[in-house]
Amino acid sequence: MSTLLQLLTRLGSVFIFLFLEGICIYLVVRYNEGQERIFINSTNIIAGKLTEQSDRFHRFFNLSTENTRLLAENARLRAQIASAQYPDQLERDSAIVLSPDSLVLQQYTFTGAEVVGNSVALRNNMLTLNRGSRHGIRPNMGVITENGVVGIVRQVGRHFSSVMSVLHAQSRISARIRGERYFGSLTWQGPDPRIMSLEDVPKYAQIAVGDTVETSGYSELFPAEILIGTITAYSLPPGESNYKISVKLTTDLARVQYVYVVNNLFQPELDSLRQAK
Amino acid sequence: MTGNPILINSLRFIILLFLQVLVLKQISLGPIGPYFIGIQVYPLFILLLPFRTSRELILLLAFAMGLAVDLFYDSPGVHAGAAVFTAFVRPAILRRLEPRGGYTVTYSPTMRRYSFAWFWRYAAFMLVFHLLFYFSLEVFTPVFWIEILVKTLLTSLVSLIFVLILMLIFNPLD
Repeated sequence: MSTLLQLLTRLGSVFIFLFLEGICIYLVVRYNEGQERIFINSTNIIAGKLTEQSDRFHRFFNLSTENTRLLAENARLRAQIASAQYPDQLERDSAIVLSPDSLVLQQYTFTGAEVVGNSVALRNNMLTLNRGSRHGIRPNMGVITENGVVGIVRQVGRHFSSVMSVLHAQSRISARIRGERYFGSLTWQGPDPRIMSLEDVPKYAQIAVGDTVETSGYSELFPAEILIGTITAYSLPPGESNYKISVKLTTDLARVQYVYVVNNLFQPELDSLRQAK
Repeated sequence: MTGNPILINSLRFIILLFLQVLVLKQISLGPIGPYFIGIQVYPLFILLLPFRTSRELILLLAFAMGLAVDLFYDSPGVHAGAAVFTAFVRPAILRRLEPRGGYTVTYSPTMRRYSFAWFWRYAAFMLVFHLLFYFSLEVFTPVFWIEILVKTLLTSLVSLIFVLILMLIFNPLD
């Protein structure tokens, strides 16, 4: 207590100084037009900065819900792209026969999911998604991101599903070179998780380094025209009739975080056709 | 001829106040604007308070003086803020300029008690601090710091000359 009193007596003049200056600055700001404007402006700037900062924090903490919302929104928008739809009109001679209800039928829908497990360093890589049968995921669905192909769903649990990455010895994706009609199958020999090889492209196809590789649409797992990567190198081994092409993936599979699971609504029909064969 | 310090300082308060607001307020050397030069001699009241005046009392008296000047200058708080600041730095400046023999508590820091050389340095320090704070409050934004510095230097110089002239004319003991 006595030390506190000593402190107060020692600093008494400082307190009085601060108190009187406080009154003065209040008077200055309150009764002087120019200074009042400057004061209001400055406090507005400071308050604005503070609000901006707190808003940034707020946004950061809402990122996860916001991502989920955007993922759903993107999945919905993706289903409206032409390549996700089945043109349901028939040209017979010069007349166009329209289907009774609509010009197009929905062929693909998309379900957003978050990657909760991933590997790229193994020979056979798998991913785990936080969506399962409860959300309509079934085996043999394609998995993509906004800039490339990720893999194919293998096992499905109630809440999670396991995805065979394109970086897997058994993975074969039907792919073509944009602009060319020739297609081949995309496989991974490893070990670089950014490079895959495109096989079975015939040697008379016109290809060049830098060409874009995309899904062909021939496999029912992926809609056509989904980006895969670009050609970085190609060669024609002697005695072979097909190119050996290296493709650099546009998706960095080591960093993939949000994906879309492709649901082909015509899958049962396509399956039954295949059975019949 | 040592008079009653309360009486002396009260008279000094009133005379300096009226000198400032009735006479010197009318005089401004140079154009209005960034090169404005005013003359401020009322801080002399704060300068000349006796050494034994407590810090708290100096602050309060300076506040009263500043507020009184503000009433006539229509700038509430600006002079008062500067005067309170000047009162606050006074002990530090006095300590910095303390002569070898130290101060005598019953004296006032005047030219006659000490010397012209001592006094003009003391007055210069005090006026620069006073006017720096004054123009900072007047301009009220660090954006125009060059303007603040220029005004402070010019006005300090002219005010210092006026303060020294007053001291040489009246040459008070306390």
